[in-house]
Amino acid sequence: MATEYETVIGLEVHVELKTKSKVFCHSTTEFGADPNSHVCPVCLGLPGVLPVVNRQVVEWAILLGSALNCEIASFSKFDRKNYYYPDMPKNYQISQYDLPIALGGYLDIEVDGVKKRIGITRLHMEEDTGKLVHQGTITTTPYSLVDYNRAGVPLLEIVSEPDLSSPAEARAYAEKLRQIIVYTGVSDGKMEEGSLRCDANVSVRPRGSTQLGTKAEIKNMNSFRALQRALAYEVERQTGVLGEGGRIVQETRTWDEGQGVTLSLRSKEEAHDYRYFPEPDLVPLVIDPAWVQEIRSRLPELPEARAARYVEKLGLSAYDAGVLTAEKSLADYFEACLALYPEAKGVAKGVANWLMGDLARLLNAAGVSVEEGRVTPERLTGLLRLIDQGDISGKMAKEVLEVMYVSGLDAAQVIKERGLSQISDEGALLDVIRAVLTENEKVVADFRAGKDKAVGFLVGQVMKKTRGQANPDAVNRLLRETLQSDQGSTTHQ
Amino acid sequence: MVKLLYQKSISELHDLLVRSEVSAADITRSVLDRVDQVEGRIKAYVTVTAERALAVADEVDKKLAAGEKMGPLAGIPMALKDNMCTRGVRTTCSSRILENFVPPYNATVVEKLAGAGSPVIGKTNLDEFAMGSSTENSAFFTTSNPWNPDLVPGGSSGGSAAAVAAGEAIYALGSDTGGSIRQPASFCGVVGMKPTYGLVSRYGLVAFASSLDQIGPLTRNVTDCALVLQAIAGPDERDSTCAPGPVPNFAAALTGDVRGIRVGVPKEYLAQGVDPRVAGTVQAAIDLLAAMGAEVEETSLPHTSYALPVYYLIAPAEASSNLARYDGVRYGYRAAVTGDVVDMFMRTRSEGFGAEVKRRIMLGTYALSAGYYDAYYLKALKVRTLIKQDFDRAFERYDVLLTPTSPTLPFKKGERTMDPVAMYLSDICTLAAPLAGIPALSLTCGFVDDLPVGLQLMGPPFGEQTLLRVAHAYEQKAGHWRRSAEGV
Amino acid sequence: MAQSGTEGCPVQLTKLSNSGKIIAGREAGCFVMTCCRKGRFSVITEKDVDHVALLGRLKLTDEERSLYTGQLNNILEHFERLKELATDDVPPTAHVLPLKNVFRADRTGPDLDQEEVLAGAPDRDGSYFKVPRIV
Repeated sequence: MATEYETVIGLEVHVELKTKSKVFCHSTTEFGADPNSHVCPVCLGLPGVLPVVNRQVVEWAILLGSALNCEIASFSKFDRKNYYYPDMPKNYQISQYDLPIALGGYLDIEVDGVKKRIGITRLHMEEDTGKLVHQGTITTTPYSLVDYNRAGVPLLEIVSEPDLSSPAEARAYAEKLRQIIVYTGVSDGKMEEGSLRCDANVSVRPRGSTQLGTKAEIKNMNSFRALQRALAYEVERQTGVLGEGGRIVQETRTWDEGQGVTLSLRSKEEAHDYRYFPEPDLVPLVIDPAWVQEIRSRLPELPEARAARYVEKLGLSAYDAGVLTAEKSLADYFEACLALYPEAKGVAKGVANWLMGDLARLLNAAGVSVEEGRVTPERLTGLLRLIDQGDISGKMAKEVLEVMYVSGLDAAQVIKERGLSQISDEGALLDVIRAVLTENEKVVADFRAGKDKAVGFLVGQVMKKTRGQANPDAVNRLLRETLQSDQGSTTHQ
Repeated sequence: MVKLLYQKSISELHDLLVRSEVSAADITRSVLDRVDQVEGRIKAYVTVTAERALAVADEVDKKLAAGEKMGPLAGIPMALKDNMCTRGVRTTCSSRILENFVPPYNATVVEKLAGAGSPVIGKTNLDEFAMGSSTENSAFFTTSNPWNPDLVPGGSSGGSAAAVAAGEAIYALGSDTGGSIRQPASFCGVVGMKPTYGLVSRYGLVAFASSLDQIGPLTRNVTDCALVLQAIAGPDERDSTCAPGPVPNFAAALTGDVRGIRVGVPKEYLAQGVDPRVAGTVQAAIDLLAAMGAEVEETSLPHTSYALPVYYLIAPAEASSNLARYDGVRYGYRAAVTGDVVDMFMRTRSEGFGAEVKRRIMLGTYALSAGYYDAYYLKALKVRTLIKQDFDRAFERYDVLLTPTSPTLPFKKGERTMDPVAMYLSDICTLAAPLAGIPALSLTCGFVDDLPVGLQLMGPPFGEQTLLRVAHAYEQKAGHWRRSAEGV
Repeated sequence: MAQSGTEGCPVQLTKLSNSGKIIAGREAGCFVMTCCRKGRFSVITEKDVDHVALLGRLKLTDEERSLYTGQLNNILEHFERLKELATDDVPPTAHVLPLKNVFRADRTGPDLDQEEVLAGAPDRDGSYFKVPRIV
């Protein structure tokens, strides 16, 4: 009988902090410059240089650790992790080993309606390495080029407990973690840009066993989708190997997006011996509770709490609240709209619908986020006001929004330029209605004969004559009134 | 008169400058002439920067002429150990791997002394990467002891000590990790001081052992030492291990009075292994101090004999990590290879480093490696605590502690190069102070066979004022500082 | 009778913090101590020296390997004395100064000129440092 296997996954996530300067020197962390132009003697590792800790990095580590429900250490220090690699200016990385700044936290995920708490083992500070550029792949290139601009950029490393039981859970964890990171404001958390990096430790074991199987480390997953695909592949691979009586080798494997497989990166030398020892050039950190409290008080409302507030206080559905709070920028935008237009009727749900519907559609098509788009909260609420005032129909408004999105104009400007003002004037509408009734006697007769749906056709004709600018509710109402009053003067069939 | 300027002390020269009896250019030229005269024999310098020195001297002369008030080091030519980064001037650490390395920045102490107007005559020879006790580990050449050219000047700051002793610099900076300022000071008959750890910024000092390294002065007398220390001490935002200020006035401590000063003489330092002639000379100094009114008493630092293994575990361990950056990628020597990058690293480092450096890298790596960290490195850190506690207890009773600086007289070139441990044993008197982070200085207390004998004084953390006071008072009374090597 | 040293074999070792709590698990090399009953102290073998040389990116000739092994054993013999001291309750001194929480503000400052950065490069390609292939 075939053994059933269960999956055990732990994730190691590295977050690039968006401080102005690097973690141990004053070089800028700005991205995208000419190679080796954002480098100083310290981050280049020249002889004689010394590191000095960027206070912002410590504060943000405490902030994120708090957001992840960790215990913040009262005593912490830096250690040297010694290994040789061309992207390492000192051939050691200043990191934290046995006294990390935060320990023992958790975050909650939900997959297919099932909630689960994932433990976080630790969170610590370290410095990033430089970047290597190869001609072709790392295995075929005859030489490599090194750019040290990134060397010394601050990183936080977050290690989860091996509590994840499926690729889907791993993805949910990574996405939730990223969401919280972006909410705290310490990083942009963009996997595609490298400010969020995920490595996974994957193993399988017979279902019900409590012993951990041999794990493989998977690297080079550059999106959440890739993460899930890579883990799914790896689980299948490992299960396959064990099923055939083989053994899993503890090694590092890289995800090959193109081929959809993980490949072994086993190097020819033996396992790393990092020879950790306390960093002698940096003094220890004594973190007093008052400081932690002060930082904790600066925590913004986190996604779960914010969504709960939307449900309780604004009457939104859990689903809507979830969508709106998925990205902090969207939730901020939403609340900005509410603040600008508090007197609107049914405002929360109304605004929510616009954001999740038409505006979202436009933004997604362009691949742009809400704070980057041209429709500001002021402009959107401006449009909503015009709808509520009756200056424009809801249907028209959708078109207006598209124009606003592309042009960056206000709703009022667009309506004026395109002459899209909604006709609500009853006199004007009645004229058109009369004309339509006259031109469509047969349909009118159908209506009188009991075919109520015929009204729809007549409304449509009025809309057509007014090029869509007639206020449809008014048209509907006036049309029926006219038909009723007219009826009085015709004989029943 | 001009010819003998290179023989004078800082205070004497400052006096002459202020009274316009000489110019800064005169002084620098006098020293440069002396370098021309004796450098072939002494070989203290790796690089001589004559033009730069004269340019600085000219600047000082201009300022003096304009009536600007200048500090005591203005126009006083000095030497820098070649492990301190000087912008635009090669900094080799006496190693092939940095033979042509030109730093794009200055060490903090270099900037401070430049600000004080002190011309730099050049960069002095050292044991490669400051690892050694004789300057014989220099990859380039060995420096000679000005008292006897067959003898070593001590190390690792042998070049700096010899330069001061030979008149090739009025003062110098050295670095001390296990005794590298004090022991060569003793061998060359000059004053050498290792300040409290953290008193002087290490930014720009090429790191050997980060928790032990300190920069300090080498001078002809204790007053000069106080003046130089004043100029280089103080907080530095580029060095996290540098103590916050303020810096006390060291010169003001030189009262000449030692009455009531409690001097402890740890018996372990005068035990077996010390040349009896050295012990005898040190004893004479003890007697003189007592006669001057100090209260001298024997004491004990029970963990003294463990200082050597503790030092030779901690220092190489930190060094093995500090020297990992020398890999031929960003600067320095790179071996010609056709293999991969690991091959390049290995050839570069094997060809670029000398034997002692390699030995210490391997020893340090071993002490930190998996399975050995607890037994070696961690154990050493714990015994370091015990050694420090010995000193803490001693300084509750005593103001200073007194020992010989070196267990022997200066030894012959080549005498200890085949046996690393024999070389390490030259440091047994000086190793403990860096481990405890306390200040220590060496000054001449007598001569044996026309060779200087050094006396070491150690003080509590940031106790430089007391240390300098006792040293100065003794020095003035004993008078040994007046005797200098031939021709100086 | 001399007993030849057994080779070290990789062993799963879990690193513990000072309080014995498991913080991280990782593989580590393990060396078996060799006792040569000829009376010469020997903790470190030539194979150990090779391993340590590799970790330190040093390439040794046969003579060097042999010489250094002897010298390192000599040195390590002096360290045996440390075992005489009871240190279970003694805290390690990693820093002699009681300084804590030394920070700098998150401000940028002047960087090196790109040319200054690359000036000492033993091999370069435009604005990049160039190194031989990694694998």
